[in-house]
Amino acid sequence: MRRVVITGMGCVSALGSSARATWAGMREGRAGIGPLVGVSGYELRTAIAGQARDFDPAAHFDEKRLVMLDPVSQYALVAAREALAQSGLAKADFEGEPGERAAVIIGTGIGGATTQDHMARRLYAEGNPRVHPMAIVRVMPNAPASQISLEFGMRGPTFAVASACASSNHALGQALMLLQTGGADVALAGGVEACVTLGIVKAWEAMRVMADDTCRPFSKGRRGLVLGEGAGVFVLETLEHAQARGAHILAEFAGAGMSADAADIVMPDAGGAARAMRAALAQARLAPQDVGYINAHGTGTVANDTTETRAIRAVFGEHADALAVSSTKSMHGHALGGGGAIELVAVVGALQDDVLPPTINYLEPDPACDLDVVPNQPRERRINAALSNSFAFGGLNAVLALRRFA
Amino acid sequence: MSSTEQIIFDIIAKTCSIERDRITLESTLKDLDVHSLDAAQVLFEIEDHFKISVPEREDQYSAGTVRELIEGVDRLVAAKSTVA
Repeated sequence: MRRVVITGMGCVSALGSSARATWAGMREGRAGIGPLVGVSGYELRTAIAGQARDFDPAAHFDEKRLVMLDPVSQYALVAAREALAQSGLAKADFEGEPGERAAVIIGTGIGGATTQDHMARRLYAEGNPRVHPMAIVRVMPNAPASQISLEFGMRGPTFAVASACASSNHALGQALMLLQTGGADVALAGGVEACVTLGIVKAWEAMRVMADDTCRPFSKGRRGLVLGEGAGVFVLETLEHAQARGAHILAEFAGAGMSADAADIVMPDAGGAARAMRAALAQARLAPQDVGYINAHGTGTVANDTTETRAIRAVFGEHADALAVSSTKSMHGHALGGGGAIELVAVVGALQDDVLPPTINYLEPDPACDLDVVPNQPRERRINAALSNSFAFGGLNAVLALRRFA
Repeated sequence: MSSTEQIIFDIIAKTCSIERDRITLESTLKDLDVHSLDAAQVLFEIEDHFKISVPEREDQYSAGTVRELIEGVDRLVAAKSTVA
């Protein structure tokens, strides 16, 4: 199987509208969660979110283009542009045959939620029978992948992946397999969500899993999750392709592991999570003791964080006490289908800069989450390999394994 | 049995697939093996039926006894009619 490396990353998140800004926020433990803006009424209780506050659509797209783009596609395109620019690739590199060897695989849990919300409000609430002719192309969950393909002329396998909060990691894992097995030479892959709409926030409220203070993963006194949004997109290449063009390699994308719990539609299962972590390690040919850091799913709900702790202990045994585990959702919130890709920025950043991002908002230890969760303060530590966990409603798990490139 | 009581017993029994005879005023949802998602559904059905909003994180509603739940709902319904 061919080796796969990461040569570019792009991001939009509550910490900033670039991977550079997002990682700068993560490595200093900055809070991106803040007062909810732009959504109100209808007895909304939620007052906080990790919104992409400094994202200005007009700074990136002209009016004609914006008509075609739900925020979910806007975020993905901006992240894709940054990733491609960092990799040194450009649209011209995809002219002719190379474009046919270039894939785009983007995960999203929901798709064009803002457009869906607006369309429903006009139709049902306002009784306005006229629906915008671009509504369908904005709503469709494959819009982010298609828009990236169109913008850069990437004409290989291109599609969306949906697995709720694991969509990013499933998409990245899918792209990894495609490159490993010769289906493409280069891919833009990641995930995106633009989910802070009235309808979606109300739906999360109804489950009674939302924190009213902030997101405190693994901490005693945690009160649930905080919704976030944004995108993460990465340039993945076969090692051969990257070396042939003299690309700067950020990290090796060494493996992905996937599993389903088949246990409960929402309650997480330690067995399923552990199987995904083991599968990622096996594909990456990593022993548990090689792993220095895990970017946890760490939603801040009671159920996830205790179950994830048990799963990590089951996989890593005694080494679980030696490795660092943090949840950057404490800083950018839970971006659902975009979460895993935003969190992969943390893993690549940690491998690049020898700094582990903290779990902020941490109050005091919870005996049921007895891991080294890098509480509140970033930590200087050189690691050689890391995992990034994503566990979705529906019992779907996807774990990525990255290794320092050497 | 008050009408609130009857309705809430019905909602718990139907939403959680529990035999109505198992439910007593002194049971908690936990005693009845009602998991968090089912509990959220019970509260939703109650909110929807009585047109009230059940506050979050108040143990009376999700962690207390069925009696406490009924008393709380009666209070919320009374408060609503005062406002209206």
